[in-house]
Amino acid sequence: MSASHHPGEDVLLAHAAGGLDAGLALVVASHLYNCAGCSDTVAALEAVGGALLAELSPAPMSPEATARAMAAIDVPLPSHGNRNPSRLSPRLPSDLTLPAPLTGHAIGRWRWLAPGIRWSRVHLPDDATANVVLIRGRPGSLIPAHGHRGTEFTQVLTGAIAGPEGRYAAGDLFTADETTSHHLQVCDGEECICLSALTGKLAMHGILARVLMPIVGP
Amino acid sequence: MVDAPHGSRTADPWGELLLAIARKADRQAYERLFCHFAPRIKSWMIRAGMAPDAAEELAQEAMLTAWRRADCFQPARASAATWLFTIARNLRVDRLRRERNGPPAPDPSDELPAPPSGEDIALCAERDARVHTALAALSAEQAAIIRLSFLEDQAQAQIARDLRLPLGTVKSRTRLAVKRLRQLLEDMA
Repeated sequence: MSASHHPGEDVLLAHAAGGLDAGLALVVASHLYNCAGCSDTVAALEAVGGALLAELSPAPMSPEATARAMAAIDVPLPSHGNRNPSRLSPRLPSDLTLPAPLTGHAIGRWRWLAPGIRWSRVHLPDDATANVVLIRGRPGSLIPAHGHRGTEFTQVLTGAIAGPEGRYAAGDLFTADETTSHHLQVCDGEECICLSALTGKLAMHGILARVLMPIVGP
Repeated sequence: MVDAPHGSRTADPWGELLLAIARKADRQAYERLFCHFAPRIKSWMIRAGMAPDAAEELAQEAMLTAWRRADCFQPARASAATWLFTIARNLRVDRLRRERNGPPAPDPSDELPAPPSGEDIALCAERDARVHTALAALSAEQAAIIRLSFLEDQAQAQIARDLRLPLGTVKSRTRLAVKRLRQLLEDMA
């Protein structure tokens, strides 16, 4: 799939530098998985990171540092057994391939959000504070208008969804922040499933928006 | 690199050391790699706000990870410095999350790549040289934005305060800086 909406270069830079919130980083990683162009940019930025690391003047190490390092490599690697098997919700559409970065994340059961819209929480094994959800909507259904007090990154996994600023199809990533207030409608034709990460709280508009409360908390 | 290992025919001698570790668990290669990169990783972590002891611990952990995963190093994709940068970056991210969350999660597994060719290594070294040239060609402000993002892991809000610019301006200038960097790299390719 070839995306037409991509994360900004500022987001890719923050991702390459390791500066993104865990949830936002997961959504960006899901985009990179299917976007060669953005992956190339991140690889170039990582090369910049490597070059900057190589240019740094060395910090003095403790006297026993090298001896410790040489002793550490003699210690056999503890065996992990089977690593975290992927625990996916049994009720995802059978033809939906989740992006590899989601592998190993537990996905909760689907809950009602609004007419035609359901959501499910994605649990990050290493960050309980991250706020990541899958949202799925039937064609034509509406996600209530909401504003943002933090940042929201959304990657469209399948189907398409339209907002005031455009139409987002599978592979697209769109962002919203303090300056954005949007309502979104699932496009006709097929079900739409999105991966969304939020930081901060949503600002609710209208009585329908109260249904978003379970996702972000009061 | 003044103290690059001798006798290497390629331009990424540090990559050669990683390959020697992958091929035959070369301890001497590891010691040289450690002595070069561990103090730089420590230096980076201190700049990024970590206490010196913790920074040294992270440098140890990063180098040990490099030893254990040397067979995942792909010189066609990244230089040794870049690969070590990503290892240290990920460990730092994990560490910050652990401090907020409690016990760590297992690492995602790595896939074993095909063995590299000498050509791969040479290509990658060329790319590193291009990165240096491209960085030098940025304006002072663009270079500052990129450096602050990487080395001091500053959020854009903090960079905006440091450079006394509105946040929106920093975002748009960051995008321009990255675009210019990519353009410079492509022009040199």
